[in-house]
Amino acid sequence: MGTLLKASFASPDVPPSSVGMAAFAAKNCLAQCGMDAGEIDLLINIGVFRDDNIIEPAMAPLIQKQAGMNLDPVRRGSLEQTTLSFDINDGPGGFLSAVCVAESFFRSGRAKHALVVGGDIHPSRTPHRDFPFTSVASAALLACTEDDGRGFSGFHFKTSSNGGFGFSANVDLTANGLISRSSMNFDMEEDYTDQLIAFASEMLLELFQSGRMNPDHLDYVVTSQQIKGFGRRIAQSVHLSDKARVIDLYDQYGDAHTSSLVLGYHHLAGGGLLKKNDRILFLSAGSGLSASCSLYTV
Amino acid sequence: MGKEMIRAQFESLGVFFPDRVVSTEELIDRMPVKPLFDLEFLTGVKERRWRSDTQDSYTIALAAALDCLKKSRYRPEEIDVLICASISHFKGGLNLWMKPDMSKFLKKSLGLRPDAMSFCMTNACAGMLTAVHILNNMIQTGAVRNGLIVSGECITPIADTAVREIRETVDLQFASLTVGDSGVALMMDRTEDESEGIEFADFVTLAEFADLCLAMPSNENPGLAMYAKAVDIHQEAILRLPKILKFAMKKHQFTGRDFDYVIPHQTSTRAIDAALALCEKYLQVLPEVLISIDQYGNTASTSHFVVLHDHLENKRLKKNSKIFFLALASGMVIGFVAARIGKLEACYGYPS
Repeated sequence: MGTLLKASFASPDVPPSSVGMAAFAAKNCLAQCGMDAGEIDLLINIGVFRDDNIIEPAMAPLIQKQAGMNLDPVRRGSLEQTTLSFDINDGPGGFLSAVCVAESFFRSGRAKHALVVGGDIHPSRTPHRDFPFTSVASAALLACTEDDGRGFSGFHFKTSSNGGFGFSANVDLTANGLISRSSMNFDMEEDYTDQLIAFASEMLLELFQSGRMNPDHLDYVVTSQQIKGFGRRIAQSVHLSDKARVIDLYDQYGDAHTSSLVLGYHHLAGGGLLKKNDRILFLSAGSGLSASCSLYTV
Repeated sequence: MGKEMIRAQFESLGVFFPDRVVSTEELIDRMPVKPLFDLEFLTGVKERRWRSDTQDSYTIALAAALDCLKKSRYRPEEIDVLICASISHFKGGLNLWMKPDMSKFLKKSLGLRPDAMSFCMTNACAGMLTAVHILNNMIQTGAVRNGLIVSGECITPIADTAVREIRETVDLQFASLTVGDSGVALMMDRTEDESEGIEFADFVTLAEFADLCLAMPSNENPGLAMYAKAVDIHQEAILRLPKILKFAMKKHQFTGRDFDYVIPHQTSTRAIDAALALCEKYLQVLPEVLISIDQYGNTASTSHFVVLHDHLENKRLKKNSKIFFLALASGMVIGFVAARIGKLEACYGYPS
C-alpha cells in the first residue's frame, strides 16, 4: 500500500488571509479531480504564519469551514462521512510530516483521502516588508493505493544536535504590546542558508552511502527554496546534478515556505512533465537546523 | 480492529505543575469589574496552578517530558517521534514562537536522536488526544515503534488579560478565568497484550462552529486573549454529542458497561454534568466520571491527562482500568479514545 498525490494546486494569486488562501487552494485542488469536499477524511494545515497570530482553534477547522467540508454531519444526518482537521507545524518540512501522518491513517484503514493545505501570510495580512516568505497557497490531495511500487517511500528526518537554530520567528507580546496581533519578528543567522545546504546535503549523502536511497534512481529533485539555486547547490554537492533535474522556481515565486514542495510538484504535474514511474526526491530543509526527505514514484 | 494489528499503549506519563496556586476567589478579587454570578460555583474551579515569570510553555513541557522519561523504560535516544501538542507555544516569557517549532527545541534539550521525527500538532484542547490518535496510527502501522507526546500549556496569560479587560457582566472572556497551567508528557509504544492499550480512537471536526472560540494577542492590552461564545459552544456541542456517541457506539461496539471511568475535557462541572447526562441514555450505564477541575481548572490540551495523573497518583483507580476519554474542543472537535491503562498503573506503583 502506498500514498499517491492524486491532485495538486499552488498559486500566488490568493486572498490576503491564511485561512482564505488555504481554503482557495483546497477548493481548486479538489475541482481538478472532480472530487467533492465532503469526501475528505483528513484535512491537515501545514501553514505556519497566519491571520492575527491566532493560536486557537487550530487553523485547519477554520479552513475546513471556508472550504465547506462536512461542516455539520450531525445535522446533515451522515456521520459515516466526517472530516478530522488539525495543524502540523514543521516549517517547510510540514508537507512530508503530514504525508507521513496521513499514510499511517491510510494504512490503518481509518482514512481514504487526506488534503494537505499550506501557505503563509504576515499576521497583518499585508505584504509586509519584513516578511521573508511569499504567500503561495497550496493543496495536495493524498489517496492510498494498493500498488506498492507507487507513491511515497522512505521518509527520513534529521535535526542538528549542535549549534544554533539558524532562523527564528516569534512575537514577544510584552515588547510588541498592542500590535502583537499584527507583528512577527524574524531573525536569521548570517550563514543560515549555507548551513542548511550543508546540513541537507550531509543527510542525503548519508542516505546514498548507506544504500537507503539510490541516487541513480532519481528523475527530479523538488526542494524547499530559501534562496535561488537552493536545490541546485544541494544537488551539486551530492553529485546529483547530472542525474536528476532540479526544480528551481525561486525566480517566479521566491521562498514559498510551507508551500514549496507542493509548488514544485504542481509545476511538474500541472506542466504535464511527469510520466508513470518517474521518481521525485522531495527534500525540505528548515530551521532547527532540520531536513527531511522522501522518494515519490509517480 | 483486527487481531493481527499491533496495539499501541500508554507506556508512561509525566507531569509538571507550577508551584503557585491561585484561587478563584483571589482571581475575582483582582478584577476591577466583578462577575454577577458565582464563578466557582458555576464552574467548579476552586484553584489553578499559575506559571512564574521564568516558566513558559517550553520549560513546562520540558519538565513534564523529563518526569515522563524518569518513569519510562525508554531512553531519549530510543524515541522515534516527538509530537508537541500544546495550544500555547511561549518560550522566553510571553514570546510566541512560530519557528523553529517547539518540538525542535524540546528534541534538542531532551537529547533525542538526530533522525527522530519531530513536529508540532495543534488541535485546540483536543491536541493531546488527537496526538494520541495520530501516534496510535503510526505505531499500529509500524511507521514508528514508539513516540513521546508533550504539551506544556502556559495558558494563564488569557486569564490575566480577562481580569484586566472584562468590563461587562456578559463577556466573551469569562471562560478565560477557568484555565490553569500544566505540563504533560505521554510515552506510547506497542504492546503484545491484546487487552491493554488503545482499543479505538475516533474524532470529528464540526467546522460549522470553528469560529465560536478564538485565541490571539489582545489589541487592548499586551498579552494573549481568548474570546469564547461559551453558551453557544455548549448548546451546539450537547445537541450533537449524543448522536456522535451513539454512532461511535455502534461503530466500535461498546456501551458504558465496557468502561470503568470517563474522563471528559475539564471545562466546568455544570457543562460536564449536562453533557454526560444526555450521553447516559445511550451509554446504558454512565461509568464513574473523573474530575480534577476543582484543583487544576481547565488546563487546555493536557486536561484529560492531568485528571488521569491526579487519580493515578492518589491511587483512586481500580486495577487495570479501562477509560473512555471524551474530547470536546474549539474547532469544534468531538473525539473519543478508549484505552486500558494497566501499564500506566504499573508506572505509578500499582501492585502487579
